[in-house]
Amino acid sequence: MTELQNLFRIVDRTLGLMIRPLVVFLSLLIAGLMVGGIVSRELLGQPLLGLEEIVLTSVMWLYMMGAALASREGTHLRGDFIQFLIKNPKTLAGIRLLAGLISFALAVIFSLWAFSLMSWGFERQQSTAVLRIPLYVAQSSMFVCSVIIIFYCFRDVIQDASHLRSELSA
Amino acid sequence: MGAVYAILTVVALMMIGVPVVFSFAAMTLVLVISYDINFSFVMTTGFWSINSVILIALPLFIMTGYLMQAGGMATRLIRFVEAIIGRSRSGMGNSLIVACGIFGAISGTASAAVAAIGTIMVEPMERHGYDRAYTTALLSVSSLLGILIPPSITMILYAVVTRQSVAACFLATIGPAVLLIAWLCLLNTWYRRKYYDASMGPEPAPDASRLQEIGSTGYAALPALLVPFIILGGIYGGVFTPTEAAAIAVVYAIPVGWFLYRELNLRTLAKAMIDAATTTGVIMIILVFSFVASRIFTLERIPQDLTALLLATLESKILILLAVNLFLILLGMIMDDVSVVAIVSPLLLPVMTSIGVDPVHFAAIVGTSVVIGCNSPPMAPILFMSCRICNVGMSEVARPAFGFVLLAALPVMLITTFWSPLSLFLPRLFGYIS
Repeated sequence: MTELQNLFRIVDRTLGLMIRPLVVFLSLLIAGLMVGGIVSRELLGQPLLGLEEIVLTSVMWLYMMGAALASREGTHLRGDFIQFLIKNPKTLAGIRLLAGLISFALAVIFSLWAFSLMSWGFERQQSTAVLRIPLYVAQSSMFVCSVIIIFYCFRDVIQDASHLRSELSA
Repeated sequence: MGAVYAILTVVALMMIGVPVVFSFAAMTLVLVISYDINFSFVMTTGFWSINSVILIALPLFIMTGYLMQAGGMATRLIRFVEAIIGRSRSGMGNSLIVACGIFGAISGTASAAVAAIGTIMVEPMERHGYDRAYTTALLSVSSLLGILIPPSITMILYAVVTRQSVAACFLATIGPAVLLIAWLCLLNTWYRRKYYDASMGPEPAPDASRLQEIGSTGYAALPALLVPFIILGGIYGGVFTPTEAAAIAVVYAIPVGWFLYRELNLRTLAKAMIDAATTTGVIMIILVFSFVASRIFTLERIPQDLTALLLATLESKILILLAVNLFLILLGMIMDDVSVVAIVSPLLLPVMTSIGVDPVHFAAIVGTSVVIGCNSPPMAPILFMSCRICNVGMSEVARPAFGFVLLAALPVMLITTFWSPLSLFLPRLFGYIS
């Protein structure tokens, strides 16, 4: 168990080190490019062709990495009414594990869908109109995000299972 | 029947604590299986739906909110509002309401207003004699002005999912927002007798020093006060689109927070960007699935079936509007605002247009209904967040919060629903609708 926890910690730290600077960079890039476009169009009278394509490709990565970070930090929106209805800690831990397992299964399905989109992109080799940026650059963000989400769902399931075990043995 | 199973799946999974994003993925899965939809359709539709320039306004406005909070703009705004109206007996409460309104004109979300204003104003209000639970309830309802006052994230979502003009939807909720501000201020003045201890209140300051305070806080807040003018002036002056306005706001907020207020540095800037990206990511991934679901609903003609059913069952326009209001409130009680707007708006829009309700008017109806849902348990995301930030138990807040919802938010929703000029006057004035 400790080895598994160590592995989780190493992967988590590596992902954090990769995603957080990427998100900051993409945020600044998108805002900067948008303003650059306005300045060029309004002040220089010269619209920047293809700018929108870079922004749209970057923003897809920003969305997906943001979603991956939300999984890492456990900040995805949730209803969680059950904790108001059920007070028994064992039952509550069991339901939490069930919710975790369902989330994990659905994350795998999301990943399959995202993989099909990405492989379709590679197969068709479509690209944007002006700068010829391949569409799979943006499309692959969904698959990368889904894989990261699977990892964190798995981490949550392990945590919920160990929590249930400790509740049952108490 | 597939649509009913899909919606029941979302509700059931959300009830047991499955995150909204996976509940929506399950809903999509149920729809794909029920209607025998091609597997490759799912993500292709989802990808192209969020790969939109208009939607980029969403992360950028969220970023602006976080940057203004981290850069000290929010604090200065609140001090200024407090200096203007904070000295009268009901002033602190009213200044909280107005501060939430102004903050809404910057951040576009209710949660940012709760976090920024809640952390700054709860302690001083308690020192000045306001009951803490009462302040929490007032904060929770007032922060929802962020949903109504442009730039509103909820309205951007509504405009995107129903294919309406973002600028027109922004204008539609200004009237209801002003009405809600006025109503809340009146209610706060009336409630004061019950929840305010006058003996703890501040001594009224002499007029000269008060004017001086207004002047100095106003001067300090000036760069922050300019943000709504830049955003809205730019959009309605035809200089830039809502997405570009959001980018300008981000680029403006960084030097103001860094060089002028000196509260922004590399660490706080990065944190604001990361927090904004996380919030955006949560919304976007929900949107992917809700777009797919709403596309399947359209393909299977479910909105049309729903329209026919409602028109056959409820023959009068008033009854249909009341039923829609009730449906939105009930759904808001079990779903967050993003989910309600993303799923319900395209589903109900055909019903609304068939009884002569303008889609822009419906935007205001959805906005004012969401305000009630966000404060109604069991989901009540904003009410829970306010309780957490103000460190008050839900049981203490329930009574004043229910009072605000019943006596302020509900009447505003009904007036917005049944008196269309309130929401359509400004879009008509600016020529967005005929």
